[in-house]
Formats: sequence, structure tokens, C-alpha cells
Amino acid sequence: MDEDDTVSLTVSLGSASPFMTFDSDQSTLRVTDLSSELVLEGSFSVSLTLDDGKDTFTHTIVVNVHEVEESLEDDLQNPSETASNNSTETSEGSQANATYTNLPAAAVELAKAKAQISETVKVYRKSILNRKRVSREDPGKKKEEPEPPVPRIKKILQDGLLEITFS
Amino acid sequence: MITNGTIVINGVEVGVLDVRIEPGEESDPKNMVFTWRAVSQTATTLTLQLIFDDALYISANSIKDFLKITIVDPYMFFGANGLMIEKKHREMLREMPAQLSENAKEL
Repeated sequence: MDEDDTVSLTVSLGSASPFMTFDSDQSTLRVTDLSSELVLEGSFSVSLTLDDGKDTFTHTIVVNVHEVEESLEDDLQNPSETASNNSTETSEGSQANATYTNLPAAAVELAKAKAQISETVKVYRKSILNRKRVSREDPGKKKEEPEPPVPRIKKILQDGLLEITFS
Repeated sequence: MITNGTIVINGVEVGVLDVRIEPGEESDPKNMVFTWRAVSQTATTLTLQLIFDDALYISANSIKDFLKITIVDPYMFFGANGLMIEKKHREMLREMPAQLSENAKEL
């Protein structure tokens, strides 16, 4: 990967420190330090900014989480009070939010948010690669599609050690 | 035995890898008990250590046991080109070689 291919990525929860990092060398999205307070306090936004030095792409997701103590019974009796009206802005437009009554549900939603962010990263990186390819290719040359990684169990040793490769 | 490899988001485990033994016809699943841990990771490799309760039972018969690894969360594994592992490639299967006992490993 040369310097022109470097894409920086920042994901943050409000003013908190980034909880997801994208290593452009390893091309791996990781979830790291996530503050518990933010998850338990109603709603929070996940902002993603990609910058390759030429273009900047911003992606914001609003995730709503109700307090853990809020009972499911209350939700059922007063659905209008617990329903969320916040909108979710994504690269594909707005969409309705659901109501979450416990932490596992919040985690599921966070995983969805992560999936959306990951998809955005994928689309963004693909567009960058295509743009570079078009600019470098000969006009008559056939396009080569990038190949997704294929994991394989390379070897299993007799002491239980094994290696998975992503080629 | 099924062991889920997880990441922890705010104390809640989210599955990343599922590692299990598919016992051969002559093997007793009760003897396939194991845990595992990730040892190291680079941009293109992931090394795991399987830890069996009794390694001597693994592929001890003529019909071998198999190791099955499923990528539960593909968003944790991207290629250098930014592409995700396709669904058809998220399951890996490989024959287990006979395993050494703990004593033999120390020799």
C-alpha cells in the first residue's frame, strides 16, 4: 500500500475517545474502548469520518438505548412513551429507530451500527480503489475486480496450534 | 463442545469466531472437550491455540475428527482491498491430526 492509498478513519461517540479504529495497513476494523455510561444514557451518535487527503466522507448513526432498569412491562403498556422519535442518518438516508430495553439489545444495535460503518468503509474504499484503477488503466485493458479475502486453516500442529490465513 | 470467540462491547460479548470439533463416527463427543484462545494476529494470519482436556482422544481412531471454524462476525475481518469475506467462505473445515499429550509436549 503506498501513501496515496492511506485512508484515515475516526469513529467517536460524541466527545468520547474513539471506540472503533481502522488500521489501513491491516485493513481491520476493531472495537476498542467503549464507555458504559454512554450506552446507558438514552441515545448517542456514532460519527465516522473518512479522509484520504482528497475526499472526506462523513457517516453518522444515532443509536437509542433505554436504561437497563426500564421494564419490558412498561414498554408494552405505554409504547408511545418508550418509542424513539430520533432519526438515523446514514449514507443511504433516514430510517426509523427501535426501542431497546436492556443492555444486550443495546449491544445488538451497536453491532448493527458497526455493521453499517463497516459497510460504509467497504463502499468508500472500493470507490477509492476503482477511481485509482480507472486513472491508471489503459483504455483498452480489461478491468480486474478486486477479490475478497478467503480464509483457510493453513495447518494444525499436534500441540493444538493452528494458523488461519486470509489470502 | 462449542467455544465462542468474542469481543466484549460494554461487558456484553459479541461473537467473532466459533470453533468446534466435528467428531468422527468412532469418536465420543464427550471426549472432545476443549477451549481455545487467540495467540497472535497479523494482517494476513490469525493463530489459535486449542487446549484439550485430553488431547489423546483427538483423531485417535481410523476415522478422523475435523475442526470446524466459522467466522461469526465478518465485519472484524477485512481484506487489504477493503472487501469482506464472502458468506460461502466463512466456514472452514480441516482434518485434525492426532494430538500429543501434555507430557509429550514437554519432552
